[in-house]
Order: sequence, then C-alpha cells, then structure tokens
Amino acid sequence: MRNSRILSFILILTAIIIILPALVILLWTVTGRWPWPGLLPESYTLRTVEELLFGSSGLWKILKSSVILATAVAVLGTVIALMTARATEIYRIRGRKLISSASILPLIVPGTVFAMGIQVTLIRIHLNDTITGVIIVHLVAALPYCITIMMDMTAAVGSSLEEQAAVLGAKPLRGFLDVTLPQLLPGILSSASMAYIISYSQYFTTLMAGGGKVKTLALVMFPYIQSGDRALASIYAAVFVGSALIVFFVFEAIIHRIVRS
Amino acid sequence: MKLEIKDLNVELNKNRILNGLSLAVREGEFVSLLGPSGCGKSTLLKTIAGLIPVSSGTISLDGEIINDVPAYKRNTVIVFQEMRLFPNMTVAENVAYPLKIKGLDKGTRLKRAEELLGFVRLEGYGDRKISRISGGQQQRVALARALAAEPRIILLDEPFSSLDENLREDMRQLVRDLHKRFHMTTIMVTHDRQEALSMADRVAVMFDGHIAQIGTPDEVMGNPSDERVAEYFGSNAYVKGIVRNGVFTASDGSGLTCRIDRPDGEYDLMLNVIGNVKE
Amino acid sequence: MNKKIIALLLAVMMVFGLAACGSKGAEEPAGTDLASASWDEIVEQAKGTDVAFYGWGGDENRNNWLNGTVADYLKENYDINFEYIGMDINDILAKLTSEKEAGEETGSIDMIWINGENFYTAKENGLLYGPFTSQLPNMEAYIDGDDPETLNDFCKPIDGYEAPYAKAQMVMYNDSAVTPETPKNADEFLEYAKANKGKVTYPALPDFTGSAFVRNLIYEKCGWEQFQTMEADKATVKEAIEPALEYLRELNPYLWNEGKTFPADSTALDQMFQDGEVVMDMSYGPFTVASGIADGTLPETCQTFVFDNGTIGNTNYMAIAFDAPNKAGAMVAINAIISGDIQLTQYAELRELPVVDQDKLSDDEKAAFDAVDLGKGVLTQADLLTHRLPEMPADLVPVIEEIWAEEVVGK
Repeated sequence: MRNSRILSFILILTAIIIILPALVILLWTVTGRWPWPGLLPESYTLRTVEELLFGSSGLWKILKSSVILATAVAVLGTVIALMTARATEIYRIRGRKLISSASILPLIVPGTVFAMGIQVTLIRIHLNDTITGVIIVHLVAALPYCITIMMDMTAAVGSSLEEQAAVLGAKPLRGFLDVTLPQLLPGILSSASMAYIISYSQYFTTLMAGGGKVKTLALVMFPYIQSGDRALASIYAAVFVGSALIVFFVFEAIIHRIVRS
Repeated sequence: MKLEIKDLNVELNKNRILNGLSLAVREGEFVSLLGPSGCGKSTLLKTIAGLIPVSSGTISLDGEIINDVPAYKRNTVIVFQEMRLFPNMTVAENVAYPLKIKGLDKGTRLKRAEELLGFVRLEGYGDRKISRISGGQQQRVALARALAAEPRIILLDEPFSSLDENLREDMRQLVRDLHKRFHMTTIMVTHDRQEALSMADRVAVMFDGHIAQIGTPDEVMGNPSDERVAEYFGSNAYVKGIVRNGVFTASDGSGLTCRIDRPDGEYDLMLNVIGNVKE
Repeated sequence: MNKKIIALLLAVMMVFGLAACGSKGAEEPAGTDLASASWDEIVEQAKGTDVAFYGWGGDENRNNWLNGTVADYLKENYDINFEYIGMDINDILAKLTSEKEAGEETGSIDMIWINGENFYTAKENGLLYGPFTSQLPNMEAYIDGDDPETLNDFCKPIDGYEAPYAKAQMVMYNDSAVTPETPKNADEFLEYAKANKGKVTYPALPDFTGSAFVRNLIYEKCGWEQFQTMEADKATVKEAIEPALEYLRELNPYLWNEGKTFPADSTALDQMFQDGEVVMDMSYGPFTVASGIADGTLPETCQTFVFDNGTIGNTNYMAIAFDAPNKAGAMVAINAIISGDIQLTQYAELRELPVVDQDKLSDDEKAAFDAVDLGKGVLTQADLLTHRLPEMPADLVPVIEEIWAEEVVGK
C-alpha cells in the first residue's frame, strides 16, 4: 500500500519532469517575446509555423529523408545485431569475446574523431556524400547498442524452443521464425527504436559523411538551436520528437501485428 | 522402430559425457533410463534426437545409421522436462505445429489437434493460451504435440518431475495408456526408481556415460550386475566374512551365517533391504 | 583479456590508417582551362548545372532568401540549379581538409561563405580555388576596386580568392523604454554600465561579436590606425592595448556578475536581452533590430546606436572550394550575387549592407536602394558607412582574445 503510494509519486514526478519541459517547448513554438520573469509569453506569433510549412526548408522532403534513413539504420542495425547475437550466443562461434568487445569499440572512440576518420575512408571507397555512406556511419554508431540489446535478449530466450521445434520437424530457419523470433520481438523493438533515435539525432557524423547532400532534420535543426532562435529551434524539436514518436508507434503496431499473425 | 546405439562417444566443451555407450531398444518397447544426475541421460536423449553431434560410434534407427541426419529429419521427438511449449501459440496451435510443418491445411490440423487433445483428456482447451493452463495440463499438451509428429521414437526427459505427486501418478497412467494405444518405441529418462520399475518393459541403468545394466525390472532389481547398480536400487549393508564349504560366516562375531554357492575365500556379503526402494 | 583485444584492434586500425595515407597522388592543377576561358564560355559551361553554396545555416531569413530569391534568379537567367546548404564554417573546413587529405578531386562544395581568419587559413592550406574574381564582369561593374575591403580581408590580401558578399558592422542596441540614453563613446559606456549596474555585459571572447566589441573599445581607447600594420606579437600587442585593458578592468565591477564571468556567446546575450536580464545588446548585423521587431522577438521601442568614433565593419565573402565540382557554375553564381539586382534584394529582404559601390549604380538603381524601407529602430546605410572602422589584421584577433582571457576576466 505504502509502496504503491511512493511508486505513484515517483511516476507522477517523472511525468512532470518529462511533460513539463515538453509543454514549454510547445509553447515556445508560438512565442514572440517571453521576457523574464513572465509566467507566460508576452506575445504570440505563428512565424515558426509559417516558416516550417512554407519556408524554403522543405520540411516534408527533409522529414521523409530523415525517416527513411533512420528506418533503414533501424532495420539493418537490428538485423546485423540479431545475426551477431545468434552467432555468439547460440552458435557460439569462435572469437565471440573478440566480436562482442569489438562491437562496443565505436563507443570508446570520440564521435568527432570517428567522423573525421570515416570521412576520409568514405572518400577512398567513393561513398562520401551518399546516403549509403551515411547509413554505414550511422550503423557504426548504432550497432554497439543494438548488439548489446540483442545479445542479452538472445541469451535470455536461448535456443530451447528452437530445439523443440527442430525435433518436431522444423528446419532451423523455420524454427527460428516460428518460435524464437516472437520471443525476441520486444528486444527487436528496443533495438530498432534505439538505432532509429541514434540515427535520427546524428549531427556531426551525418554532416561529415553526407557532406550536406544528405539532409536530415537534425542537420536543419542544429543551426537554429545554435543561433539561439528559440522559437524556431522549439518547433523543430517538436517535429523531431513528434515524428520519432509516430515512427515508434508504427514500429510497435507492426510488431504487434507480426505477433498476432 | 528399432534403435541401436553402438560405442557412442559424445564430448561437450571437451568433456566426455557419453563414454562408449551401447544400447538396443526393440520396436514398441518402453525403456526407462535410470541413473544419478550428471550421468549423461539427457545428453543421450539429445544425441539420439540429433541436437548434439556424435563424436564417435553410431546411432541407427531400423538399421539405418542416422549420425549425420539433422534433427528435423530424424522424427525422434523429445518431450522435455520443462515442456518447452511455444508461448506465442495457443494450446491447439502447439499441438498442431508438427502438422503445420508437414504442410497440412489448417482445418485438418486443427481437427487432428482436437483429436489428440482428446487422447490426453484436454478436450475444449484448444483456444487457451499456454500461460492460462496448469502445469499438469501443459505436460499433457507437450505429450499431445509429440504424438502429433508421429515420431519413430519418443523420448521423454523426466516428464513428470515438475508435477506434484497425485498429478504424477495420473500422468504415468496416461503415458502407459498412450504407449499401449500407439505402441510407440519409447525411452523415458527418470531418476525415480519406482517410476522406472513400474512403467518400463526394461530398465537401463546409467553410470558415468555408459549403460551399466539393462534388463527387466525384476532382473535389475534381483540380479544387479555390480555393486553400483545394486546400491543404486536400495539401502544395502555389507558384512565381511569367509565362505567355507558353501557356508558364509560373518567375521564380525554377529553369528550371521548363510548358505552360498561360492568357492572358499574372503567375501563381502551384501544385504539388500527391499521394501523401501524409493529414495 | 578484453583490454588486450581492444589494444590489438586499435593497433591494427592505426596501421591501416597509416598505410592508407598518401595513397593518392597530388590533385590536378585545378581548372587550368577555366582560368583562361572567356566569360561567355564560362556562362555557357555553367548552363544547366547544379551549384551548392555552403555556409552558416542559423538565419532562417537568409536561408529563405538564398533558396528563394537567389535560386530563382539564377535559374531564370543562367539555368543554374542553386542550393544553399547550412553548415558551420569549421565543419566546412574540416570537410575540405579531409577531402584534401584523401586526395579527392571532385568534392561536393562549390561555394563557401567565409571571411577573416577562416579565409586566411583556408587559403594558406590550399582549400580554395583561385584567383577567379578578375574574371567576373560584375567585379568591375559594381564593386569598388580600391576599397580596402575589396583588396584585403581582415588586413590579409585576398588575391582574387574571394568576392564580397555582404557588409557587416558592429552595432549596439537597447530598449528605449528601459534605458533611453545611448552611450556615444567608451567613457559614456562606462557611465551607462554604472547606471545599470549588473545589467550590462558582452559575450565572452572568442565569440565573434564579443571579440569585435572588445576590439571596438580598444579602438576607442587606443585609436585604430596603429593596429593595421601591427605584428601579431603578444608583447607588442599587450603594450599597445594597455589603456584599453585598464578600462576593461575598471568596467568589470559594473557588469553582469561583476565581470567574473561573461555570457558564453552572442546567442546567450541575445536571449538575456530578450528576457530582460540585461539592458543592452550588440550585433554584427546592423539591421538586427528591424528584423527582431518584425519577427516579434524584440519590442518596438528598441533602438540601434554606434559610437561617435565609429564601429568596426567587415565584409564577408564568397570563395570557391579547391575541389568544387562546378567551378564555372560557382563563378556565375558569385557574379550574380554581387550584381546590383541581387544586392538590392539582399538589402531589402535581409537588411544587410550591400557591397556595391554607390557611385557605380545607375540613377534607377540608386533610387531603388533608397526606396528600401529598413524597418524600425535602425540607422541608415549612410549613417553606418560614415561611422565605419576597418578590422584589425586577422592574426591579431586571437592574440587579443588570449590577452583578454588573462588580463580582463575576473580582474
């Protein structure tokens, strides 16, 4: 009883900590002036909304390319992570420890250093300023997280159900798809979401690998945050968070559908 | 189906688990595999089913060596101790799974599943979720699912150990009934001597990765092949003494004597306390 | 165990990196035929091509002007597909450096928005293409060739590697409803700070605006002429600016947080001004106030002012990347942007000081410039240009910034 009270207090507190700043961001999107110490803005304007919808930024195009890019990273990252996790956790291939420690290397190398280095590499293999190049770079950034998630998940689910399916006559892939995959779906969802948000929020690496040719929301948003245009930065932030949430809902809906069928 | 295992060696992580194991099971026979934990019983089942590769030796079914046949082609079904039901499927879908793999259409599958659920006395449970039925019911679903695969040999790995006592007896009866009805070659691993002795046509006792003795319950009980087998079956006492002219006399001064048909010499006399063979 | 593996991997990667270095030969002597081509040939070559202009993307109005007005103009007149891509100058230079290192011959950047130190380093490191400005007809037609800002960028010779883009000038502004007075020189500024104790400050150096403001105060105290030829020697510079350093230290106690700390950058100061935390703000964009009032981010009572002795002005420029895929297109675009037509739209839409020489304009063009309504709270173009002081040499700037950090902050 008392525990549940504390729990709900914490829940409410968390909600406030998350929701309140989000509401402030929403309010800032239509704020003209908001001098201290006013509780509410002094003037309101639809400037940012107009800019977003009718400005030269080409919101829909950028949103589309950001979502496609991040979704590609989410799907590829999760598939690669799943295969890596299967290899190390189920098939127990040689050099498992090497693979799992190598997979977290990108976390150790500073992002800026990595971005500069990979750019030179991409130029040499003629993938600079291409979406493929950006996907590869984002994948490197996302994979440590995806692999960690999928390894834990794969280890937890194990191969026992697949063994059962095999003795009942299911070929390995069939058994994996029929009985193990449904168990892995929560992990797949977290891995995909993680990879998505990592790709979605990459700034410097996108800039270096995409050379400004591959445009994402983060790329357009960042200069406005830097230049201190709070209203414009806020509306981009709102679009950023909102679109990511929508994509997550879609991911979840798809996964639920797979589970049911 | 006739199962024949010759000189089987299996290594896992460089540890030898099965060590020169040989075993022959006749068609339609019910064999209980008994032995202390860690003796390799479960490994043997998994090796027969193709889940663990053979290091050396042969496994053959009806004379055909199946060492290199993948698990999914062997048609040797294990019913695991922890049941391993598929949580993403309903009861009926679990039972129908082997039929789905065979490519039967949905109607046929579900009809057959319902029929099999009838054999294990679970009519009408088809639409339930796995998590919504009891442990005993889950065990019966696992059995029905194994039967659905129409296996050449059915391998039961301590199938009742997770159930409580009254359910266990119920399940034993069910398994015996099913064995009678389908006459399927069956190997059941257990560490419950009573269970092994009461259910099986023959009992195989395993120690350290090989079969120490195989025989009917009476043979194994009454004429253990060595001390370890004997000891495994009961609370034994040993009395040191000497045999002279076919008469054993204890040397501990207890005055115990008995006739025995052995040459003269020093002996250990083993006394088997029958009546409490259960652990 | 794991540590060893990581060390090994790093070693392997380093070896790879080293082996990959210098795998390609030097780049071709870029655009040799372009340098000798006639203007007509260049325009012909540029027809139907794409031009990518890279520069700071934090100003929505400028982004819209470039991707709208300028892009439309270039499409219509030259059949060029022009695109502006927002990227910080440091990132642009980092990108070009990597490309140079990797031996790339065709990059993705055509034009760059650049000036000052960045231009100096980029040119020194061979990241720019040129010289090209002498081939642009509009350099002759619209730009004053004798203007020191046409010849030098922060006192460093341009040598034809960049063409003027827009003029900036340091201005200060306040809200006349809060503080009606506007300081006319450094001494009055000190009085102003005293009167508004704790509500005046400037961005911490090396912020671009903060740095310019401090140089402006140095000019006030020490005059500007001596710096034009001064060597970037710390001792020399320190001696020359000593009176200004004293002044800045005297100012500190009256500043926000008593001069112990300063706002991190001009963005922070802008927000403090908008929030009413400070009473005065400053900008390198002379018409910032008008845009702010139009946007609604600044109150209508804001007013711009400069010191009587003038404020520092500089020009920002357009250069071409050494590995620009479309150098001809970039030249055509740059030529168009320095034309009277486009400079007029820049003046009208962005309220940026034009780079065109007023004397070279036709009467019609002049009238068009005069007709532009600059909006509220700003000074006229003439007022600004008569109160305009030249920048210091680019290499003095970091020296002054260093001295400031040592001698002024918290003193």
